[in-house]
Amino acid sequence: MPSTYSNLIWYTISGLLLLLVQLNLGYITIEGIAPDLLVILIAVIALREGQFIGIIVGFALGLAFDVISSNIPGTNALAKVVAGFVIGSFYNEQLSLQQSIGTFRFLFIIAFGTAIHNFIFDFFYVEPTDLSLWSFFLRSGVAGTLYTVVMASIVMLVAARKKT
Amino acid sequence: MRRLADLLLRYKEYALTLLLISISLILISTSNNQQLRSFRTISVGIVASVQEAFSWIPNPFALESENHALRQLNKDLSTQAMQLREEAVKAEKYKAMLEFKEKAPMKLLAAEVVGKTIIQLRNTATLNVGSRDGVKEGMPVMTERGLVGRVAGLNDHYSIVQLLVNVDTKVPARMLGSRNEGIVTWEPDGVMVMKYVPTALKQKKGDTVVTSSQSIYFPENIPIGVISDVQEEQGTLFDRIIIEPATNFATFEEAFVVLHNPDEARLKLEQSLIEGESRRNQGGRSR
Repeated sequence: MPSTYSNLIWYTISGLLLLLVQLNLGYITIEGIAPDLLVILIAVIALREGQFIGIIVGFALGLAFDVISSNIPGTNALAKVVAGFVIGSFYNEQLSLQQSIGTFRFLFIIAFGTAIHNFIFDFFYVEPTDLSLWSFFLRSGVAGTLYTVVMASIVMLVAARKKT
Repeated sequence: MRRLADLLLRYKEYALTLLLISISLILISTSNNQQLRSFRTISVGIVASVQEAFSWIPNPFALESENHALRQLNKDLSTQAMQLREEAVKAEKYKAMLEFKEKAPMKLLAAEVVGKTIIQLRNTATLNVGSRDGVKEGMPVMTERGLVGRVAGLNDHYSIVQLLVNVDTKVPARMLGSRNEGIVTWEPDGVMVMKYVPTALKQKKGDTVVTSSQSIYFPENIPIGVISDVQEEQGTLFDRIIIEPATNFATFEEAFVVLHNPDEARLKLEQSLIEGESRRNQGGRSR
């Protein structure tokens, strides 16, 4: 369970808000590429609360997004469960908030987790597109991962300035 | 049982991941399930209403792409409008030409101007009709507005027209009002002039000048232009009559070749007379 109930409330509010924002990413979409803000939230929660919670949050956010978006039901849930599992494996309870999220290690974890997430997620959508397999992964996977890392760097900078 | 529970607890992350992956895969495989689809329809509807409530927030990226699309559309429509205007002008012109051709007492052959010069002393135009179409050297060329010139050379597919705005062109002409006759020429200073009209015969500005029956090559009554000025030529008995050409040589793009054959007997007779005259002149000089 999350360390405190106040954390649980914050995670729930953040999750609901980010679900809505993720659904309206036209504001920050560049050439059809959007960052995955939900993966960033999963990473923050998984690195603070542990792998087990990260997997549950990944599944819950993925499933919720599947329900409210036009994606194939289960695809986001599957990709985000795996992302929660992979990112959660980097959990270290000895590390403070600054150390776990406020360093470049966080960006590396985000890049790694998002790349795996995008690979799994894109797998379900590569067939209907008219792009080649490689260009699809390059565009959606790599570009999407980089954009997510850029957005995660904001979280990293905020966490780095925060005193634990 | 207890050992299994211990094992599950020990590897709870793996067990949970496997369980949730299985649930996800089941969801994916049942994505076409009617109940699930109905549930999703409702949830998407609720989310859409929330989205609509926030749709007043301007989206700069969407505005930029919308602007881009509108600019492109504007460009395309401008091009289309320009093309339509050009087509309308052409249609109007073709209509006038067709009406003229139907009413004309002469047999006409429509042609397109594929090349022309209008700023030299000896200006010509090239038409896309030739001997294969029945064109012969010397045939007059005109537009629905008036005389253009006459065919000076041709091959199977093209004809070269010696324009009225050419210093070598001389057309016997007559004023429609006063019936006075003269020769219309193009002077090197870029003015069309009717010459050899006695000063004693008063001319009126605005009188129309047409081809006269004196010409071998041109049928009579083809408009040439309108008198714009009458000047007295110093030291001569003739007026210098300035003519505003009926045809706009800068803009004409289509023309008619008048399929008019000159009277061969008259042509031969006049040519033999001219040749005899010149031989006599040469003989006189050699003596």
